[in-house]
Amino acid sequence: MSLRPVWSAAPAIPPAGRPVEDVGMPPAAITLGAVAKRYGRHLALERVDLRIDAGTTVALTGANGAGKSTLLGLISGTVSPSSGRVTLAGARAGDGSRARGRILGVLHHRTMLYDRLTGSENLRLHATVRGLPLGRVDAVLAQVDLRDAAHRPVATYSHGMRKRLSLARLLLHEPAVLLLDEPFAGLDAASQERLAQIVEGLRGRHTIVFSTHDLPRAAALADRVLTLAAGRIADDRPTEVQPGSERPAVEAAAHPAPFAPAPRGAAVTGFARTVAALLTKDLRIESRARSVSTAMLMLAGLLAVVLGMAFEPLANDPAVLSGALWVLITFAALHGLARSFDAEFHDDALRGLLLTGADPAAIYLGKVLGTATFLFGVALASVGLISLFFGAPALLGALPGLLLLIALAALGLTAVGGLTTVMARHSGLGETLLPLLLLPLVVPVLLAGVASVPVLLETGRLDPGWLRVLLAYDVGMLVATTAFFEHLLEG
Amino acid sequence: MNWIAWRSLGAAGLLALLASTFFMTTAASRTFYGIDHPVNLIFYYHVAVAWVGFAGLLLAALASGAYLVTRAPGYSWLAEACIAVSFAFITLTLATGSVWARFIWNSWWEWSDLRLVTALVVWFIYAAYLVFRHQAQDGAVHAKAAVFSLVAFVSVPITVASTRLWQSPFHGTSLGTDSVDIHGLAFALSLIGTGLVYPYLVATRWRTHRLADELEAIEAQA
Repeated sequence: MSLRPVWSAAPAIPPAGRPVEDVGMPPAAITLGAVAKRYGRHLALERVDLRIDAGTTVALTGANGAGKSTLLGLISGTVSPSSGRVTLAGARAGDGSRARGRILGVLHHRTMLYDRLTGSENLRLHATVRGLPLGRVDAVLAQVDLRDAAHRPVATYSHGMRKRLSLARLLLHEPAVLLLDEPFAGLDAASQERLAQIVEGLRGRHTIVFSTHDLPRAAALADRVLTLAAGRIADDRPTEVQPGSERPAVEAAAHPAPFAPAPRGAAVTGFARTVAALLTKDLRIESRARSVSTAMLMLAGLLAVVLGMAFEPLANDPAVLSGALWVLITFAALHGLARSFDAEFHDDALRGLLLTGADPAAIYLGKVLGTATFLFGVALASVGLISLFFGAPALLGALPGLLLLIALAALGLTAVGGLTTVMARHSGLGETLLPLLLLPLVVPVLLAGVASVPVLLETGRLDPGWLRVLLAYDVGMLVATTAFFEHLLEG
Repeated sequence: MNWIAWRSLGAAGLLALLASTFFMTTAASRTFYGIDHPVNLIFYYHVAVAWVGFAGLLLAALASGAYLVTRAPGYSWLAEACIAVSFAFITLTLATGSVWARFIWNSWWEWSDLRLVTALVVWFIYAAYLVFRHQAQDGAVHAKAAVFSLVAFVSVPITVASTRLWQSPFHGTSLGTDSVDIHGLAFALSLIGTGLVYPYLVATRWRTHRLADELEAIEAQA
């Protein structure tokens, strides 16, 4: 059983058991051929054959558990089929998530946005990562009627505004296909009406598939209503075309004019742009919320007090100073990593960025650099705390060497820490698993840190052997963790 | 290779270990580093188990890489089986070393011994792998565990290098020193025996998991 979604090359292979009449038919945007999905013993979707023409709007209805979300997940690629194949027009064989990110816009239950950023900043982040002109941000904000609220943090938005901002995020790159998972759920009547008007305005320009429980809404907005029951398509009928609501020409939708992806030579600048955008985003959020650094500082301060009391008779021993300092840094790192990555999973913001088709390695590197910056700051403050509570001003005298040491250690700790934090988060045991996964892997960093400080205090220089260990560790781990990060994001 | 062949492998390994035990108890010197004590004979198991156990971690890293590329669950289970058996072997290495140290150094544990410290760190790394890997059985966990195994494999050589810097070597190299008179045949047999038992254990564990997977698939179809 393969766990990778099966994406085949266009042109679509005709689905089994259903002849495709080529002549006179509009091109297919989405084709499912004998697609089945089972979760363990539960059959969520049973051999579905489906062809959705470009430019049409399709409503999916059916009871809870009928398979609507599974079907949308299969089309978006977040769910891999147990058998059969899903074909998206415009995707080339082997382009995987990059092509999907260009062709699709997916609206989920969760906003996939950062609460602490403003609406405009969220969209600018996505536009930057996608390599789109920033002028698009104002255009889509106007499209979803959010220009007045653009400079307010998303945390202050109503549920309806968040939905519209999420929709704006999808519209940035003019995707050929929009997948909307229960877009009207939980909205009041006025917000539903507002959103419906926006979707109405998009009809014909995009291929739209949305799921809903609201049958009158489905009939009013869609060209075709599919009813799912117990994993099968129980009913598939076109809605009656209401007079005076002719769609724009389908040809226009069949060849939408998406913003061209950056040329291949721009891969490096694209990577650097994504890293910088993520780093800026973290610094901006932290400058407003200070949730990561405050939490780390509090813990470091408490530890400094406790250790200062415990080791008072030994306070002048460089080895004790060094040990206490690295205990502070280690605990601060454990605490801060969990906090920093929390922001990425809250509202699925990280998944939203990954759905853009951006390089996961660049996203991870940006995130690591951001978190390492906070850890560096806290480690620096820890030097001050230890000097204060141990009455050891010599530590401050060695600050230039300590800066380099702490910077290298913070980078190594964060590179591995980010990876293990994501692992721990997605495990049944949660973040309690983080110390178990992280600490044995970072033994070289901790040894280098603990051993270097006394040498630094005695000779005024960093030991070159330990510097080499730290450099080798940082380089090896940054390369390994950024390269493998993509594999952590499944499930 | 069919299952009978794998069992023969295990049986041959056990025979070689028995033969090694025979030679070491009858013919090998019990004097290491100038100390005459029968506990010195533990060396013949200790070194073989350590070498084979650590070599198995390389195999696990290769299998993890193969899993990430092919997504064939067999590779993930191969990596798991290698790590589980290597973990048992490293545990044995630590235990036999500790017993030896109790008699010769008069201490169960020495922080100044870099190999003890390194082996302990590696033990913790792979213990974490096993805890993580066994919390659930789905592709997402398999992929994350494979990444962890590969990252661990990057960490291990640096850990070895750093523990060497941390302490000047106390635990001498095991072979090629004048103060240790190794019975070549007993050591070779021990190494061969361990080297045969290891793949047998890995294959047994791997096969159990494969059969469980197949059973689950059959039950799901029914």
